[in-house]
Amino acid sequence: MNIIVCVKQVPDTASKIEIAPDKKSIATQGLTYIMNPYDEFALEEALRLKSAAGENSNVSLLTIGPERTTEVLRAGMAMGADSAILVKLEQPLHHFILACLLAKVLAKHPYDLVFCGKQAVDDGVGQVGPMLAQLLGIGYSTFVVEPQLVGEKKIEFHREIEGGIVETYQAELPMLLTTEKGPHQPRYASLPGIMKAKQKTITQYTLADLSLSQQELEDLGKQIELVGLEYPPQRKQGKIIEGTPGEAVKELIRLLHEEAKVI
Amino acid sequence: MDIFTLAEHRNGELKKISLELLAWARQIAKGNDTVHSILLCQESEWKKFCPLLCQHGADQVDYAASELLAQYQAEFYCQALSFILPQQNPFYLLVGGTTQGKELAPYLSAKLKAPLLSDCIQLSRTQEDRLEAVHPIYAGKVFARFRSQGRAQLVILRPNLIDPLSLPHLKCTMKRYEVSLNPPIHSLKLKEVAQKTTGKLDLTEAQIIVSGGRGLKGPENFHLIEELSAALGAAVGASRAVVDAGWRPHSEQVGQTGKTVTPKLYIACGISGAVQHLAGMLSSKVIVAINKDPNAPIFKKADYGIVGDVFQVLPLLTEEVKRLKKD
Repeated sequence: MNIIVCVKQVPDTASKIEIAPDKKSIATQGLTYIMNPYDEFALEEALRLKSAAGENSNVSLLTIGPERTTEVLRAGMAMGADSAILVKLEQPLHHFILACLLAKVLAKHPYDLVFCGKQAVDDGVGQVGPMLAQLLGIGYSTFVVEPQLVGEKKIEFHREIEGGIVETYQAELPMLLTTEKGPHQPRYASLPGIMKAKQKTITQYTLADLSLSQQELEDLGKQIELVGLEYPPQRKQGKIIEGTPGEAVKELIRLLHEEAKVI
Repeated sequence: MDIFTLAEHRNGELKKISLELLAWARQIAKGNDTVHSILLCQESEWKKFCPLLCQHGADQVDYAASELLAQYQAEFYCQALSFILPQQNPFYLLVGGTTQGKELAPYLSAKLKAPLLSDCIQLSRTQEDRLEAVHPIYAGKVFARFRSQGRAQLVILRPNLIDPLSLPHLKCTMKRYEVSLNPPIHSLKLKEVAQKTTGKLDLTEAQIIVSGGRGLKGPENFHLIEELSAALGAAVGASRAVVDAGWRPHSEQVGQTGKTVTPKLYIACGISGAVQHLAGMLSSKVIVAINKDPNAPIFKKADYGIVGDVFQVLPLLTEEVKRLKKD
């Protein structure tokens, strides 16, 4: 079974995030980068399925980004992924174009199952997975947890939706799944794993390799324009309510009722 | 311009997001525009849902009713929408940032090759009829402002940020579409639906949320959160730490790897306020923090704070809320 896991390298949101002078990007100095947490959950599920599927199964990572993106590929391969594919790209592109690029890569690589994290924690958009499913012409589902093999080419999984509802689905491969945070913690890479990862293959593509022309890029790029980045409005300075617990509680309720008018 | 909104329903009830989207649509509608609600459901339900959509801001309800559309399913909904949406004329489509909307809209957007702006918290329209929207990025530390361009422009709006309008005297038309649905390419079969929590109110729809973190010291103490929550008619939330520890289910988690919530009131109890948690609740209108540690980062973001022991404060707070409600 061939499993592809799409991963994204994102800035650690605990980093200091500052808007760059051009007001269209963030300052990169001092940023630490990590694998998108939801992609880690996806990779963990993929590795479990690989174990269950046995011989002749492999997990391949797929990503788009500049050179530093190879860090998350090595990290993923250290966890157990067998190989990786990088579409080398310096400039940020919007989601539909990214999905088009991923689809072009997957036309060259066999797959039974494609995983994406439900969203990336930098932009929180979650568009690429469903868009990719449309472009590939395969079935898909989102917010998936605990996928399991229930036959050679059949999977069962849960889908977490609003109201604490969990749906259970079965589907035949090929499928694309976007993963929600599930009960399985992503495994740590072992030292042997890290060493082995250095020898594993990263296949690289450029835009030219994927026959997406400058014109196509420009036309698609025109659809969405980033006007600019701004800081959110500052919250008003809050107040700490003094006094004994009893007094503070009474005062808090009064403020919530009379001042804030939320209860 | 035709401004379409996609209605959502579940178990025979129309979801509030359907009405919120109509309010958003009215906000950007100009004189000659028609505000639509698209309703996909089963035959026995359109008569019940159409008037509600009309009363809350739709000029026209475009509906298709069939057994295959009774429950949301991405491929069928995508086919039905492609059928109903204009093929030649410009339009906007507003979709809710729910699991349904977030699954469906990008799939449709790729099919139509139309731009999609996601997770929007503000929406406006330029002179040239381009949609302009703001969406939070990097755990809400930055707002990104985008404009889309094209005949068809799609946008996903975060739930719970706008109040539904009441327009009972608006003239409203109901238009029925007969959509013939092609068999799906996938083989997805729904096997089971389970309700995993007792509260039916989803965090993303709640007006008041009471959340608990490590400061509660153990799952057996969460009743303090539940009692306050019940007194307030609120939903219960949790930090990642207590979800990972197995004290609370993931569906209650608020934060970067949990839910993003937009209540009018968020009460964080025994939660320190890590960036990843703030990412999920900074859009709350009013934030209250209760924590033993005066240096907890959450106090920097709270509108009101009590430095104190949750075991003392929470029962007193619950009592005081009950007293207020009685008066």
